[in-house]
Amino acid sequence: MYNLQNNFNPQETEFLSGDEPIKIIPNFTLNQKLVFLNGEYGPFQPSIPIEVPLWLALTLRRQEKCQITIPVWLSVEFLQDILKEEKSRKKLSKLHPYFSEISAQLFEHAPNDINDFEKVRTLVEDIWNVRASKIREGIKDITNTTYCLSISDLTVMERELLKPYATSALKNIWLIFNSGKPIKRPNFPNQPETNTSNSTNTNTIEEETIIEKEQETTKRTLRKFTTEDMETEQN
Amino acid sequence: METTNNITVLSSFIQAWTNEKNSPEIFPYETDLITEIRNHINTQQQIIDKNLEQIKEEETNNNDSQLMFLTNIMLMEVERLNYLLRSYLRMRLDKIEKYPVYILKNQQVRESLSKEEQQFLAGYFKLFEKHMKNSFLEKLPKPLQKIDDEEEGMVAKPDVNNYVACKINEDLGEVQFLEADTFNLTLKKDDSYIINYDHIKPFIQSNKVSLI
Repeated sequence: MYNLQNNFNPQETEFLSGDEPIKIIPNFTLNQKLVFLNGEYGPFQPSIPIEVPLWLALTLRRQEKCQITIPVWLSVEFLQDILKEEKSRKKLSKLHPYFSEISAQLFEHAPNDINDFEKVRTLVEDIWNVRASKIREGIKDITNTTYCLSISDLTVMERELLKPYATSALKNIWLIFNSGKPIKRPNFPNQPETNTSNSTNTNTIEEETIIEKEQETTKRTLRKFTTEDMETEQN
Repeated sequence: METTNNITVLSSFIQAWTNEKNSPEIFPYETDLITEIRNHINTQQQIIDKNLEQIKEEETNNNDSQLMFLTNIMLMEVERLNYLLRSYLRMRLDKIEKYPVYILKNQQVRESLSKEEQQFLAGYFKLFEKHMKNSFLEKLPKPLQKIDDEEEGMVAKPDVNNYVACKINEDLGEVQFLEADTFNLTLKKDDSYIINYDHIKPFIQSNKVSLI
């Protein structure tokens, strides 16, 4: 059931990134306004910059009807700063959420609009690699008692690549962790879901004492995992 | 203002689409958003059809390339919206096909479906039941012929303990979640977590937390 996968594949994230605004400089005239669902764009005059959704900018660029103004975060200086920042600390730097998608699409369709195209491309690749190794390091910290994962600074592409692995791993950990508990029977039709601590009706006395013993002997400490927790825990 | 309202229509629909994709449960059908989007698509489609007719009539005219260009752009936008709508509806239909008995038995969940989806469910379940009966159920002894027996665990229910990625939209302070031991989590605005769906379910309805 393809439609029930819980993550976006790269084509879908690229589709989502299409709605991001970007500035272009058109070289054609259009006196009408383009009426889209999320706003009106136009009229278009040559050499007057205008902000449009990314999908429109790329279409126009493919037909050579405009020049795309590369966003600030895709310039050599900015990327070099980010790369330095990424290499110097364990925490992930803040990037545009659609960093990978937008840069890939601009490389493909508008390479001439980018200053120092080769340099920018290598920088983007380096940043991606540094972040990927950081994420891999962070994942190693998932233990048998992790109950949630903090993913605040991931870009959309990184998050969607991580999701299948992380969700199934955490789910399995949860299942193992809760395997000593009484089985919750489904409640139909309008009964409220009972909490595990209150579900005494399904237990016999013998089962209860066994579970209590298990919980005492295995001391479990639940930990929250973040990529910067490693630093703070060592302090 | 109209423009700002329209920005929220698209982004709220994309949020509803994302929620639907990530969660094991079926969310309430977004009737208002979908009606607005379909209205927009219909008006645009009418203009597109009118333009295409006009282009066909006038064979070679300088203004045509301008009109064709404009029509193509409008077509692209309509295509994008259609893709979103279709994907949203297909996801919901797949979920309906996966949990038909659960939805039929549960009045609350059934109200999340649109009228057309409820019809789909009724038709699908009828076919499913007929198929089961004809294949083998008729030949089993009477007590074993049920396909909606709750006690035997026959009813597939959406697993609310799946892990999902979510984003916090408001400062929620320290929240206590119940597990074997309770654990506390400080939920600040713009944080994202991969967490048990059951734990953040109450926050999703009020839009304090959204799935990403």
